[in-house]
Amino acid sequence: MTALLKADAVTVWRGDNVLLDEISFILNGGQVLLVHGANGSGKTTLLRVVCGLGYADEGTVYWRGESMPKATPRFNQELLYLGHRSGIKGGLTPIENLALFTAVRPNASAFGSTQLSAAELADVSPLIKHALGELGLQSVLDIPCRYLSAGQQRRVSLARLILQSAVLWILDEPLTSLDKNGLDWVRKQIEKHVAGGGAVLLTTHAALEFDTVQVNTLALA
Amino acid sequence: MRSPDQHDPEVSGSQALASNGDAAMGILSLLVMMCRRELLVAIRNPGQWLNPVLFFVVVVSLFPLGVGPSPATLALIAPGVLWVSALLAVMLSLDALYSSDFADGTLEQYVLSGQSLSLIVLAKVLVHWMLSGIPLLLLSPLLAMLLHLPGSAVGVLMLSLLIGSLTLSLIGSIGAALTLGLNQAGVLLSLLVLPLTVPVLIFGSAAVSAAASDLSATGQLWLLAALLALAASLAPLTAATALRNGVASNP
Repeated sequence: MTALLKADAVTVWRGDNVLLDEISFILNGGQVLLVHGANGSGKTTLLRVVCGLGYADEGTVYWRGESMPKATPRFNQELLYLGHRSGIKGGLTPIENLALFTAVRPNASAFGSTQLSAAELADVSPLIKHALGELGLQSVLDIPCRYLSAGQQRRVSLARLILQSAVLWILDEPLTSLDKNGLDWVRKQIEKHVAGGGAVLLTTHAALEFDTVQVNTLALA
Repeated sequence: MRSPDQHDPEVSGSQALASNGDAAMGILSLLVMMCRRELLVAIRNPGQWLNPVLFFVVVVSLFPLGVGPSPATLALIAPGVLWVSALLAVMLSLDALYSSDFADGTLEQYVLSGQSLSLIVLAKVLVHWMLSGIPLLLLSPLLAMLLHLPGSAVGVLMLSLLIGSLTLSLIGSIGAALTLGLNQAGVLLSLLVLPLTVPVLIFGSAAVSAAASDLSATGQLWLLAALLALAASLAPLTAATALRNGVASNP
């Protein structure tokens, strides 16, 4: 069976120092891979290389058995990446921010149906309201995001986990500035995603313990 | 009687969308959606697009004060003054084209969205043009009067600005993409972009000069249109490639 995501001897140099030294891993559907490492050990760099936002000096990443530059269009269709930078526009409200993401690749199954009707696709704001409500943001739906707290902004970007369909989630420190409730919510979403056959590649410094999911770890020196 | 394979039009529409899967979103609807989003962002942040417009008005209205109020002199230099000011005003606004998207991570999401990055660039350029080129175009008759440009040339002035300013936005988007993530990118941006915009300036002001002396400006306008066609076909692709590269090399 071909692996969903496979990194083969990925090496990245920073000047004369090797930052990532022949990192290899395999991630299949139904698995979580947690990347460990101290600050500056290259976690973010690895995640960016895997999703195609950064260049590896050596090594290859494979998606469904196909090597990366070639597989990129398919890979992008099945990827959800949340990075350090939230991708949230300060001038737009949470609903306006999420409208584009939701319309580009809506996740029908999150709303109990297998597909969305044309009318639902034309106006995705009820779906977004539903998702934001689940994240406890119903009182700030119409407030520009720059006036929200860091944790609330993080929650807005995390709403994409249920709004967008994706097989692979790449989450770079998704728990930054989240409270206990938010952390539990993310944990539940990851468990649900993995139970449905999805894969998660993440980094976090917070203690994230799963009840039902087996977590593989990758330690960076 | 209704046969079983006759579907409700709305249902069959949604099935068509669903069967296309991830390509559900058409090119046109993505373009419209991106333009609306960009317009909304710009409207919430008016300083960004009011600045160049104000710059244009101020620079042009300073010329009669500096050169003197003689109508003959002003009419002579009007085409050049209007066009140079418009060019510089557009340049001034290019810095901000991608910088905020880059800083807040929106650009990364665009690159990974699986949608055509060229199309996203095109939407951004169109909105940039709507908020920088169009206001210049609308103000130009007023400023032309200030410079005693003959009334017969105003139509050509507006037409040349209509075509030319969109070309400038398109060319500028390449420079803005190439200087992504650099501190103080403004100077480098001007160095990169200004040489490419010189033909637009030459044919733009030549068209207005010709019209002001009651000559036909058709040739110059067609050349401007040809430059627009060239820029419209090449700039989005080039800028998209530069953006991809810029995002990858600026972690």
